[in-house]
Amino acid sequence: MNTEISGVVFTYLLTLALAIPLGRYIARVFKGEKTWLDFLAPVERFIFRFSGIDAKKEMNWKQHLFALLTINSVWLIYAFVCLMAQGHLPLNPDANPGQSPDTAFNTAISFLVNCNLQHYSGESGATYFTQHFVFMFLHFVSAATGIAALIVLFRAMKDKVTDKLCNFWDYFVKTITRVLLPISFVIAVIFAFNGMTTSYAGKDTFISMQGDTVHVSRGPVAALVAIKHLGTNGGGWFGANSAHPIENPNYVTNTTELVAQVLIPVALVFALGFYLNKKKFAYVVFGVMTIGMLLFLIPTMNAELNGNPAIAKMGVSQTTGAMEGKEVRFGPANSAYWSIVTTIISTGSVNSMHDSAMPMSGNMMLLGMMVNCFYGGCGVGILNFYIFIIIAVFISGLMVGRTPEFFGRKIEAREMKVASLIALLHPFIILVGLAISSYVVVHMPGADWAVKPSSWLNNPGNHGFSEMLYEYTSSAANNGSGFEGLGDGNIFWNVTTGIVMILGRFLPIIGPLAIAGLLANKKFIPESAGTLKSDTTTFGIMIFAVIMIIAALSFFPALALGPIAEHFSLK
Amino acid sequence: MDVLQVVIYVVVFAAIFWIFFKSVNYFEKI
Repeated sequence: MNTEISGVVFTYLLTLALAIPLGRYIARVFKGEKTWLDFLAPVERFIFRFSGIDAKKEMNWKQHLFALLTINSVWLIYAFVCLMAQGHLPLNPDANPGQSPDTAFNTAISFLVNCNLQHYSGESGATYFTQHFVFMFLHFVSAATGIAALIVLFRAMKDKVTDKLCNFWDYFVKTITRVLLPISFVIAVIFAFNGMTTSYAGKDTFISMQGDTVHVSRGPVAALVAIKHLGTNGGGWFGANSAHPIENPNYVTNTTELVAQVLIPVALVFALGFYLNKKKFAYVVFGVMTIGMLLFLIPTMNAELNGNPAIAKMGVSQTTGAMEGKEVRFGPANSAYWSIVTTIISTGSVNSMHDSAMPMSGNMMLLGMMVNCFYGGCGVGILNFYIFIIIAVFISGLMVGRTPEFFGRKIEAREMKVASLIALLHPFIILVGLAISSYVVVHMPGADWAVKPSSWLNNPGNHGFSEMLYEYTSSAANNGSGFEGLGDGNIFWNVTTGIVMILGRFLPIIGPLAIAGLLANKKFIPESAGTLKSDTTTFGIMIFAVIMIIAALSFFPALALGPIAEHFSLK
Repeated sequence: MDVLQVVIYVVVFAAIFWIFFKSVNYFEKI
């Protein structure tokens, strides 16, 4: 047991040791300082010349957002068409068919928004063409979109800038060439040498010990899994994701996948400090996020290591903890750590079945996605956190009777209206979706649909409610993990979660950038004795309180009906 | 039926992105 916990501590410390220098490096890249990857500059210049882009042209916040939205709308249509036509496209040795329009609608949105909710199984629902040129492509560009948006925020937070916030395309391309591609390459090599397949051949066949003929899907998995984690995407090659022995063969790959998914979100927090030359502020942000993570992680590990009380009542010994739905090669502590980081960070990959986790663990995973800013996804985690900072600054200002200021700019009604709208959007889209699906299950169970609502839930009662809550929370947080046990491969779930995913992605990018852009245009006020210090423990506590009150308490009634009720029913 | 579905989904995509583009201007003047 101690070895398992030591493994988790080692994995986190290794991540931290790599994230600090990476954060410094990211800050240098976007400040335009010299780095050891400057030899890639000609490649970037070629991309800009080929695309007819003037990467030196300064953009204001609106131009940044228009560029971001325009290119994302093009990728969406591209992905939608490819997924429906994949049966007729090359690189399809297993002769998998095209996706139905509703599945393609859901999948295209899902990968575009860095969510990777998968209502299909990779073995039969995708081809090598779409795995590469749709999923892997979107893994890179969706992560780069989030990071580029965050760098715009960093730029706007700098002292004495106005509406000149550099160039979106410059940030976007450099994120891929200088950050995502080089690190993904290193990770993919580690995976390839540890048993992940890199073959373009179709299914392999073997005769099992029982004499059955078994077909095993394979493919160039290592390359995809590298960016799947590094870009906090989470969409796996196989249906079982990183619980599949080819997608996560051993403890080395498991640790590498864990480090890879946490690496950039943590590095970006340090990059914030290095970029703005405000290291103490970055430490406050990092402290709040880390305490939040520990508050979710410790009860989860405790619940999983102690085993299931219902099984204990039957007199069954659980010396290894709660092992239902877990891989023996990883164990409950490691699986608990994975399930928490994958939910707070919005990766959404799994190395165990979340549906089988203890109710308290499920509760913590849900909270991780509901808060969605303790480290968070690539770029978007800090964008979400920024909204809570603005609200905390405003409330703090009101409490001491001063006009709220943040980094030398006054926060007024307009910024607060945007921050409030974005903060309330997350619970709104989750709870509305949950209310509609619950109504349909209860009042229209026998509706004459392809899949009747009465067949959606394998588990009735509290657990079934948790499955639906998890599905919408995962969609809105752009997480993509599934509680499973939910029949979600049908039009109702494909369409509703598709809409929730896309709303949960772009509005929380537009809002913070709008606030930052509006603040950057305001007159800079130098710090004085009356300025609220943003790099103190008190301010950190204030932000934490705001996050807990707004994000966590909004969901308390829903959590009480789902995992909390189930937790007490086990006692 | 599939063609109709595809058309509906493309219209939904267009409507959602229209909302996003409009929201940029809305947030500026809110």
